[in-house]
Amino acid sequence: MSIINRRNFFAGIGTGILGLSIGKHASASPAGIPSVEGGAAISAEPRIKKYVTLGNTGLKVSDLIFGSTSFFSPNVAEYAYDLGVTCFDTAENYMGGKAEEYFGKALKGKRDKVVIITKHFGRRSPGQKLTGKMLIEKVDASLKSLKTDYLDVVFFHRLETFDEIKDTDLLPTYEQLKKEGKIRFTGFSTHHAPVTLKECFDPKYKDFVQVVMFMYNHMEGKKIEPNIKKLHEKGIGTIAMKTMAGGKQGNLKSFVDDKVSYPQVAISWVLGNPDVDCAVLSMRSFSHAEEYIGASGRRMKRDDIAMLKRYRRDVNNEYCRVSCNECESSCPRGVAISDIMRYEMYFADYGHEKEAMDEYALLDKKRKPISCAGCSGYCTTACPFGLKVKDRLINTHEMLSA
Amino acid sequence: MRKLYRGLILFTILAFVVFAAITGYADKSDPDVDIIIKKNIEAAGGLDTIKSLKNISFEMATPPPYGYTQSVYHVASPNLLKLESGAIPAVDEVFVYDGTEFKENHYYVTPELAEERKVELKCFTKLISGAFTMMNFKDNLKFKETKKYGPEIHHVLTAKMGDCNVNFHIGADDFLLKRVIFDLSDKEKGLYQKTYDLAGFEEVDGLKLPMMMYTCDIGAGASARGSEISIRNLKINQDLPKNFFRDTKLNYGSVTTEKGHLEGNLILTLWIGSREYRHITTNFKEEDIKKSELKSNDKIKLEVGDKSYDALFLSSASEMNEELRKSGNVVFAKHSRAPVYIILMHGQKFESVENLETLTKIKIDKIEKQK
Repeated sequence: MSIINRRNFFAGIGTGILGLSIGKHASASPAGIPSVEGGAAISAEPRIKKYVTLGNTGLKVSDLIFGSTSFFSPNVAEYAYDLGVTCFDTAENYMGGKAEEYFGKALKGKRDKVVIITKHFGRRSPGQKLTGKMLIEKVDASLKSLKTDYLDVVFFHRLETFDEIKDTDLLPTYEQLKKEGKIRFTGFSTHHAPVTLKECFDPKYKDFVQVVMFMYNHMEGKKIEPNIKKLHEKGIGTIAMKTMAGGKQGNLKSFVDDKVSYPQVAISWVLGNPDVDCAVLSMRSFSHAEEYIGASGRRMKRDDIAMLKRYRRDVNNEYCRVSCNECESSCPRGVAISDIMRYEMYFADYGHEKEAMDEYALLDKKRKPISCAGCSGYCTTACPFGLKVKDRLINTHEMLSA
Repeated sequence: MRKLYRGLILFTILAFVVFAAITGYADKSDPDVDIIIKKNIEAAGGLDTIKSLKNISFEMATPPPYGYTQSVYHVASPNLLKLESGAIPAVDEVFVYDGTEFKENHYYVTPELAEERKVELKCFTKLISGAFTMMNFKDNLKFKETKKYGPEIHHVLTAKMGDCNVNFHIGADDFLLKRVIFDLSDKEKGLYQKTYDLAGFEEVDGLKLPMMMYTCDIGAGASARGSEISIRNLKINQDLPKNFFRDTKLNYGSVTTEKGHLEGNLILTLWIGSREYRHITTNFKEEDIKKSELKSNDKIKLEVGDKSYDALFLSSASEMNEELRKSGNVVFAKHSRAPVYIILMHGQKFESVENLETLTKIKIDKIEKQK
């Protein structure tokens, strides 16, 4: 039995008899079983074990959402669907626009059984004027790529502060699109939760803020937990992202046994918070889908806590809690420290080199760490976790500019 | 009485149907491994075409912006591999495998290859020489299971290689190799899997070969997030030199050093248009710089091919500041991610610098301060 099969053995028992259970949604009939001396048993796989309602939207979704920052084939999404995933998250710019197209292909014929989330304006230049007309064009482009006539949830992507949208005509345009039936629900995704999760309760954003996606994991997020609770109490859908705290297990040792892996434990921790509806995960390959889905409905165990402790100990002085932001106010030059550290994470930990470099190129030149070498390093002093922030900024600048 | 007979007959028929169904189900045995292998070989071009394969070479590259370093695989038999890596044609690392042992040369250092990496290379040597079929694994394969991945159905065959189980996924519709999964165990990392997903099959000289791979580690391992690799510049049956598969020579040339003077070669050059600078990788290493006794902020005369520049030496690229990035400045500094030194030339005028072929000569002389 392979590692993954061993890991998911109990999940297999829970979902059906080996060979008879292909999957709740699986369209494969015995006719789909190979012709070579047919009749071989199809192996049992992990399955989604928990479905939740996203806030007050009434949308029922799997506790794990298929994230699409990078996946090598539309068949990976279709596989996740077969394993019970019913919510698919994308953005206009993921994989250079290819992610929406992949979903269009993978989810054909399943539209009424799935919830699709997409996002716009993730890549905006400093000072760029955002308009309702742009939003309409973007929504139409997404509908075309996704081969659908409605989007379940549309997010303003990577909101830093509501100041970015409050004086635009975006909010009335979102409402207009809802009336037209092109979109059903709205909200935002954010890496600046300490700011945006406070601002979002302003009554003037009530209609817009229906679902929120924020960074939350076992290494950061404690600070925003009261606001997550408030969101939940107000019936706003809550989705956690960046759940693996950098996913640095690849560089570490002994983070897996034959029953449970670090990502599964990290996901369980996030979903252990009753105010978090679900978690979004980039399922890049069939194997990632199996591994992550193995964590659906799973509860934390004593050994898990020890594993997370070990992870925190090992990466404590290395992992930047980018939503913490303690360092940024200390910088006399206004360097966009948390954004730059996030791009470093995309580049070094996620392997999204091109995306990281493109994002960095869009950053306002004045907010880049160009003349940090001569600074005494206020950011390093301010970091509550002892990270060598200044050195990392300088190296990241080199890395993302070269 | 008639009713009883009718009941008995019905019961007998029912019992027969149930028995037939049960035994019929049980008779549905695992797919025949030999048939799967045969169909797999046929799908990839057929036994004769694969046997006519004397050698095969291709580049495996990650997508831009880091696509400028590649690995080039050369395979001539199930037991003959040469793997060259670097900014091709400049090669800074070579592995050779002759069926019994591996030899490695990385910047003229010979580190010991990890056991799991050896298994991986041995497996890929067999696979590549068999045009990504099961041809060279025939005697060692067992049927494991049939797996469904969305619309794809795979027959999974497994082979033991060293301490590792290797799982080969063969598409049930086209019988091409779709996945290779290594079940690995490491004293420090514990159990983990290394996976390769193969896609983009194209026909080349009668062979159907994958042009794309996606690799990731599940559990522990170095590339948990995975990466996409494209296969390109595929060449079949080239005339290769006699000792080609034994030769571990690197081709980026040697360095000569003395106090205040260095001579070496250009390994790679890139023009970064969006930021208007030229990036040149050299073959100078830390020990060369030590011998030359260059110190940060030393002024140097830099010759690249037939061009000469006044430049500044920095012990690390992170010492760069805005002033030095101004147009016209040339800096020689240590690469932030590789054990070699780089030259950075800032300004539009450096876009069209001529004579910057790989292995172009580079000379560096310290400019002594005038007394």
